[in-house]
Amino acid sequence: METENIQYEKLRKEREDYAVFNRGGKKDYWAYTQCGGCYAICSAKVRVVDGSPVAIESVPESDLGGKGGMCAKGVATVMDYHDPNRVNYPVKRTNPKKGIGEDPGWQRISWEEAMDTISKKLIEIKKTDPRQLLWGFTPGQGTAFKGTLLYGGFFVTFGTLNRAAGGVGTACGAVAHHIGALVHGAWDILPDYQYCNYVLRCGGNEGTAGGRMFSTAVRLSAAGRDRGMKTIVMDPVGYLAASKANEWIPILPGTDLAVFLAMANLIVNETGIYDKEYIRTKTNAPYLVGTNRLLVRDAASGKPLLWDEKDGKAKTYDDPTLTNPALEGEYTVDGVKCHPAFQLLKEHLKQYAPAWAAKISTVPENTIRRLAKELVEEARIGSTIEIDGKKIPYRPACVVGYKGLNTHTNGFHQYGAMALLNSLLGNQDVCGGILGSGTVRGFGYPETGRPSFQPYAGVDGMLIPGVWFTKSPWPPPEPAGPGLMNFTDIFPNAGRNPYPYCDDWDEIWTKAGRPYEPKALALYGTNVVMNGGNPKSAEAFLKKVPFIFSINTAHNETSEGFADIVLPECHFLENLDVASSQGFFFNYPIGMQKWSFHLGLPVVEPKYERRATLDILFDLADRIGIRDEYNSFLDNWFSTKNMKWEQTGAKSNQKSKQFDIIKPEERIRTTEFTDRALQFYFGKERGLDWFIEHGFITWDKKPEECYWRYYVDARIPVYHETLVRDKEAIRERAEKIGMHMDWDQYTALFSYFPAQMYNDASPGSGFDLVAVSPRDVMHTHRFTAENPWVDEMSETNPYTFNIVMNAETGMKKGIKDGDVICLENFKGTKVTGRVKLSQLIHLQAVAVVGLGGWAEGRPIAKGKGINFNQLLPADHKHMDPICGAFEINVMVKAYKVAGGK
Amino acid sequence: MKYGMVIDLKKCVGCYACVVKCKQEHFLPPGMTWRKILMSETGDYPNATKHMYPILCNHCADPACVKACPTTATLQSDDGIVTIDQDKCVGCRYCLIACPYQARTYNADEKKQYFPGQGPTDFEKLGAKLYPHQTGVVLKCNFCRERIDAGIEKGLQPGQDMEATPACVNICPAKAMVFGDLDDPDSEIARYIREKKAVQLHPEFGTDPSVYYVIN
Repeated sequence: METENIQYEKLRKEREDYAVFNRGGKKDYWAYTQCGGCYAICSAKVRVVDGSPVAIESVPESDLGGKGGMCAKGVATVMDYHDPNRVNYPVKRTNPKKGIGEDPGWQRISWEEAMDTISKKLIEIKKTDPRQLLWGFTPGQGTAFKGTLLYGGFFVTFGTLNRAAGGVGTACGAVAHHIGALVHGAWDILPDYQYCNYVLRCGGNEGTAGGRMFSTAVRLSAAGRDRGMKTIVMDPVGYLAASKANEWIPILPGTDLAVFLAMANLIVNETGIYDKEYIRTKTNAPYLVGTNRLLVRDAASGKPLLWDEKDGKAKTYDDPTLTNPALEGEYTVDGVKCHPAFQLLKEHLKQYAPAWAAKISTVPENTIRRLAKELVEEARIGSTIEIDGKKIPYRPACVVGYKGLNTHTNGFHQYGAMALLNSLLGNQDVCGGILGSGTVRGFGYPETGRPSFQPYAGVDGMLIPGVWFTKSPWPPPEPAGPGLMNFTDIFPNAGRNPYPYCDDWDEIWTKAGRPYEPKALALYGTNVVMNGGNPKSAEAFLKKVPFIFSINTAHNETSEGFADIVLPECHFLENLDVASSQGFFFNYPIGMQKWSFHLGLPVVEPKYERRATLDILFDLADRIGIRDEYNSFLDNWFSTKNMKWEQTGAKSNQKSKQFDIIKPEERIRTTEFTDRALQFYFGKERGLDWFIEHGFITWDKKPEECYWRYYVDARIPVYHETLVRDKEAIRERAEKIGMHMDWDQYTALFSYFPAQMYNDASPGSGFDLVAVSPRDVMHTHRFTAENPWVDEMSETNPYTFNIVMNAETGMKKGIKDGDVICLENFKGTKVTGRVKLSQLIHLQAVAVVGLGGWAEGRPIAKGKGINFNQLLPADHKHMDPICGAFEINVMVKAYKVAGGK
Repeated sequence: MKYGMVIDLKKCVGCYACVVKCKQEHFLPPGMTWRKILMSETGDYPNATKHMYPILCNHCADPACVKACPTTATLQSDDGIVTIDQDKCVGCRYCLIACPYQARTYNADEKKQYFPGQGPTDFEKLGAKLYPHQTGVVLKCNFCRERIDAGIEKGLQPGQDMEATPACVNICPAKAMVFGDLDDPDSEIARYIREKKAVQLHPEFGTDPSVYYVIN
């Protein structure tokens, strides 16, 4: 019925394709798909009555999710689908004025007009300089891989690396993903809950309130607790992950680095018990370092050298006769005095005394000592376990953490020091330890051997992920530019950063010579006004962009204030999305949980003029003239020939001319593309029709896949040589344009640096509290606040909409439970909200869930919660100098403004 | 046969899935829930504890509500489930006061919508068809009576087969709940309660709840 009214030819054809999803016209059926409540993309099945989704659960027979169980935000997505405020047709802005809170004056337009307008602008930009097009995406609301893979791939193909995502990544995992790639070949990490006995969790709430494997992690960690797994949570907040822990250790935010370095010192220099074999064979700790702090290299091959204690010779890392590489000592190679990196590390760590760390972090010294002792004991270094007939190293203890560790200006060193502890325990990607999530080594479905991928050794024998999106982390590109508006060309280890939505962007761009101006911004959901720093910082930049278009399911503060055209995207319940299946290194069930390949399927035919993401991108690619190249990108990725943004791999179709799924010249639509990809993976009989009926395909995992560490001959960094090597080249470029970073951080061994927030306000200035923003169990990004069911629950959860403050701290400030208080940062920015006094938060911390929206298109979310992010200064001083992470905490003062009821 | 539930607080993470799923399953109106999560803190910093108690109707073996009901709208079946016949309920709310666990809610005639002022969604319209609730009556958890009955008719076992099990039990991602026959000592729930030493809340109220808790 709807299809007859559709004028746009391409959309009509897409809808004809989508008739296959009407389940034969049944009135009451269950259909498979994947959940889009957050970026965990758990398995899902949905009940549809009279064409309306009414119930959702996860698939009990699958390991992807809660085995029937699903978190509240996932369950609630049924109501998002029914939100009458959704975008149903393309619209254009009629109010030329742009700004926070401006009424856009949306006017409905045709797809033809929308796509014609957008493509004309993009064609013009591509002709002159593709970098004039900026783009950003969100990983939220079922868009994780649509964003990184389909959308990101589009713009990489277009020729612009000007990713302007706002807070996405930078207020999240900028460092974690980078180090995750280098150490695990994975986007993130999780304890091997099935076998782990002891978890030290710092600054992250996976398994209780967040993370890319949410329901799966909840299920596995609950079972782990039931089995007797012990969890210690070291965190300023005690009411989230700590509520399920055996012990809560309050810590001053962003000071975990001191504790980790002190623990590493104890382990290496006092206890002396660590996994020497792991360090020797799986890290670059035995690589020889010269007096210039660079690796000593073989003159002929340029490969790093190690000292073989067996025969007293220097050899390359891949020398087949290398038997016992030295970890300590002093050697001379070709007249150069050198030491194994581990020797330098040992010496370096000696300065980090537990008493010193206690003073900085407020974690008692004897606690620091106890944690180090317990970790080593529980790790059972040297032990093995048999899994499915394979002997695997068994290390059932680990340290894990996420946002609270890495989103600081000291984030690289802080998160890296945590990884160092795990390396010392030898627990990375072996049984019971810390696993790169999902599972990054796969032999594929047994019948077909597809899809298959694995991490491998690259330059200097260092680990490279087999599957990745965003800028490949290794080897880092040469510092270049300035040429990108986000300056990630200058910073080789930064995939993204808060630019250009920073207060000093304009000044810096002028110093860079303004090589071009922003002509257009393409947004996929991403609500940059809300997810970066101060909305005013974002506003200042957005006002400079003459043309902004956004693909949304619902309007938000950014689209209303600044977009010229908004395109209606299908909600995940009506969106065919094969990208959702590609979570191998992101959300697939970890450890010995089964491979679980699901598909994002429409449970109902899309309504109005909403379109599937890939169809919009195919259409745009056709019009702009990049469809051939975009097809190539997708073919490389989905066929596993080259699963990277950089399409230059040895097996890529540009080299081989082999196209397995889609040829450059083909103009197929999403349904056909999906069908082909599935058949490529699982055989001719298991295409789209098969998946509509069966929903997913599952097969047993092999221990060599999830516990791959000793099956892959590659090393991970303990010594970050490229930071030393590239420091001057980076510094020169950055300083020239006024980016005065903390260059001391460009050092090869993890070292102590305080987080910037502590430098912003001097002691005695009155800014005595650290404002933090942890995840709430029911919220992710900002869109959850629009859901009426989630909203109802949030009203009953005292930790969600309120400012949480320590009860004793509040009392000293004359603040009572329920008072309305103001948090004011050192720049004079204020937020107000009701306070909940708690015993479960550090004396010097206040916690706020990041909400507080005003969009008219989100009436349920409007005015709910507090806009925390506006307290965060956005400039180069508040950015980690290595990976571009945003400083996510800020010093504030708190005072009462009104009494509570 | 006495249906009951055990909630393992060591596993529960307080994610609200059970509360929202119940609303979804029964098309409950805005503002009404048949489950709640009680949150509290005990102790003093830093030796403090967060408590999260998901609560629901306890389907007590000796229910105070049944005694209080003047119209026999509230009844207990042979399998222990306490239900409300909406046709018989006159909304006197004696049961609301009698229940020591505050498990019941009065459905006032407030014509609330999930998106106020924007009309009922298709979900709400379907709810009026598939699972209508009268206004001016008291409502509460019914242990998904309709799922249990339909399941038994198909030969399925409540607590073992998901289709015949309360929706909240199925939806928990932590697998924190077990449902089944408390009277059968060999049932999964009876063993779980014994082995984990699960307890009733406020046994001193004297109503003998059928919902047990493994305390964290």
